[in-house]
Amino acid sequence: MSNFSLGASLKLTGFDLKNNRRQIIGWSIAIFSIMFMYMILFPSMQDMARIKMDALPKEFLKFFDMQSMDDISNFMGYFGMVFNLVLIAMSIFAATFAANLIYREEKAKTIEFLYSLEASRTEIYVSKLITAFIASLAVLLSAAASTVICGYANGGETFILSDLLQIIKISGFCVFFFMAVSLMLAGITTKVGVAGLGSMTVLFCYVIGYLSKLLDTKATWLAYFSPFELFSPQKVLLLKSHTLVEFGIYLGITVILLIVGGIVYKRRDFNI
Amino acid sequence: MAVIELEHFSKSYGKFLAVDNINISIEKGEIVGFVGKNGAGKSTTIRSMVNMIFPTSGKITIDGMDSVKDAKKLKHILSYMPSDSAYYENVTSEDLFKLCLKFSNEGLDRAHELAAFFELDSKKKIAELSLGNRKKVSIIQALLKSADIIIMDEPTSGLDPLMQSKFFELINKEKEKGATIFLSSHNLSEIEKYCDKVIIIKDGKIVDYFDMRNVKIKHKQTVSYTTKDGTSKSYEFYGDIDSLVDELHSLKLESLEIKTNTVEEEFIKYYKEDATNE
Repeated sequence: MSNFSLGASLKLTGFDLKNNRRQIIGWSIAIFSIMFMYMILFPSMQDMARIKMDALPKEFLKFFDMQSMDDISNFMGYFGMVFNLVLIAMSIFAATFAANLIYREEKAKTIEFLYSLEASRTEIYVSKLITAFIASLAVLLSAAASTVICGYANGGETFILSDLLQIIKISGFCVFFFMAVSLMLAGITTKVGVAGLGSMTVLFCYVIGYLSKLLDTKATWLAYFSPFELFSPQKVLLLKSHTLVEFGIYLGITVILLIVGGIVYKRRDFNI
Repeated sequence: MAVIELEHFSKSYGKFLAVDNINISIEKGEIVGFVGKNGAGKSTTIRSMVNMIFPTSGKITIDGMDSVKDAKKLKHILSYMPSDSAYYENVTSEDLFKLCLKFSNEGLDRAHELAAFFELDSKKKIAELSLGNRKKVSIIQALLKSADIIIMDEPTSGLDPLMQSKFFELINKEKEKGATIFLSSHNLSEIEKYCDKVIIIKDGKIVDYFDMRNVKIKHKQTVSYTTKDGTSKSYEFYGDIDSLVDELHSLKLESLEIKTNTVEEEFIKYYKEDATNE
């Protein structure tokens, strides 16, 4: 008899999604609203930003992954700047949500109920992975939907749907990468607050990426430790071949993280 | 034939040895009570039996299957009720039963029938249920499917006496159907009444074992007597009752009292030993 059945995982996923629907819907609405608020005001924000940000030091512009004010003169450039920041919030959501799916089951001892069902540890882990993926995707798509609406409303010729989808696919991958990091951490142990650890990883990677820009040629290698920097919307729009290679490597790392988490989860005591 | 077998089973948490080299053998169709004070190692043993945690050493075999390697296969014949009735607060007990039923082939009728038996409103959210009602949810969940082996960790704690009696009524029915039941409990009078065997665990070690069907012989008896010359003696006797009669026959007795110790008394004695040592 096989130790894994996708059907069993999907049954648990359905239950998990129902159980966490408020959180997923709440975050999706929040991200949709934030993106909408920024993107709908694109024309006026553009003018305001020019005046205010021209006075700011170059280091500050780098924080938003901008080289000059020209970057926000078009809809996609402005979206890139906003999305770069919203991406942090979405990554933190994905990291905490994924970690809590496993961590809270053990902390609240509901894992005893879950594991009393005819489901293996692998099936439970995969169900958590699917739930976290769907939740992260929902939040990411809500940001995309909001941008599409605003793009058609006030983006004019500078709104390019294919570019937007490219950014959502490649820059948005950061969300799934941090989801995988947290899921792996929770798979390994729930003796420490893995949700906090996952969030700290997100912020650490963002700071690393910022430092790599700030230090310029002195520490460009730092960028390899930051998916935010490697897959920033600006780089995705240029889409050089090395970006795709780096994307492939990060995709591979993500799969490895998920497998490692699954293997340890299968072999460790539940922390109850 | 033994359906549950623990061979040299030990479990450590870091340096702390929670269960120390225990051996248990349970026959098919028996109700076995697992008794011990809090922290004695009951839950650790039970959780290892259902693969929530892994043995540090030794082996657990259930119906010929290894509790670790065949964990999923075992779930087809095994039902487990955890001691903590911990559930998701924002779902109803019916939602939980529906999820359980997705994994077995039983209908929702069985859940309704059991809910009615235990007077549980299954439409209420878990957050609205008292501890006793949450316990009922756990019991129903464990008895939803027809399992050959039922493992329950403190199933009656938090239940009122009427519900405890109803619970044992159901357990007896499961036994009649051929199920083997292994349960831990602090309700010693019920354990004594319904269990075929009782195993006592203390500080991670099995310290006593009673076959309730043969209790008068196996069981310890407290013998107190005074002879006509004024000698008083009180001691514990266990073994062949005929040898006790022979021994007493040789004495010129003025008074005699033979009291069979109940499981409850035996158990409390272990507590007292602890208190004395402390």
